[in-house]
Amino acid sequence: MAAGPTVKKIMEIYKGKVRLVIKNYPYKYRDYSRGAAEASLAAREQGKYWEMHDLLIKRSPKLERASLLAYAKELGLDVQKFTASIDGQKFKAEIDRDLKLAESLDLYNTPTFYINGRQVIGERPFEYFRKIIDEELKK
Amino acid sequence: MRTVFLPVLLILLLCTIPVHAGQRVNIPPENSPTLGPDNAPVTIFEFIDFQ
Repeated sequence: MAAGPTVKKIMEIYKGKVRLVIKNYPYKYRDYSRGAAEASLAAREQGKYWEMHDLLIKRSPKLERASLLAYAKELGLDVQKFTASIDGQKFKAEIDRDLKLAESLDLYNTPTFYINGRQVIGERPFEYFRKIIDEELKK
Repeated sequence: MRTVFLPVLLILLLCTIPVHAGQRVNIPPENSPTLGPDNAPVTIFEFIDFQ
């Protein structure tokens, strides 16, 4: 899972003060996690990562191959290039790198956040994040 | 004297217990998707699974 609307709100309210970095942690026992991660990075290759990121969160769990291709078309991507990318698992090494990082941190839940290195596990209300971010901004 | 010393020792010992909540983890951004300025005072890493 990913905390779409809450993170969006944080990025709007703290515009210019917060940097968001996404790491993929596709759960190995879910059928479409890995494919969706590939799709997000295939869209990045065509300059539309965030558009695809938002769409995947919005349409989840409809993430099977046919849906991913439909989303690529919806976003105006080069579908042929996108298809070749996801079918060939072009970003496997990058996703594996993130997975290895997540495992080294002993993560067991998504989303998991690190705010200036402080761990927050699971979806939380905006106010929870606000408290931590405000503390960090005061430092 | 001993009755004063023991509680003081106990308080001192409690102060030495590490506070795990304050631990910070250093994560490399590498080439991962990023939003917001690189020099922002706060960086949030989000580990996600779209499904």
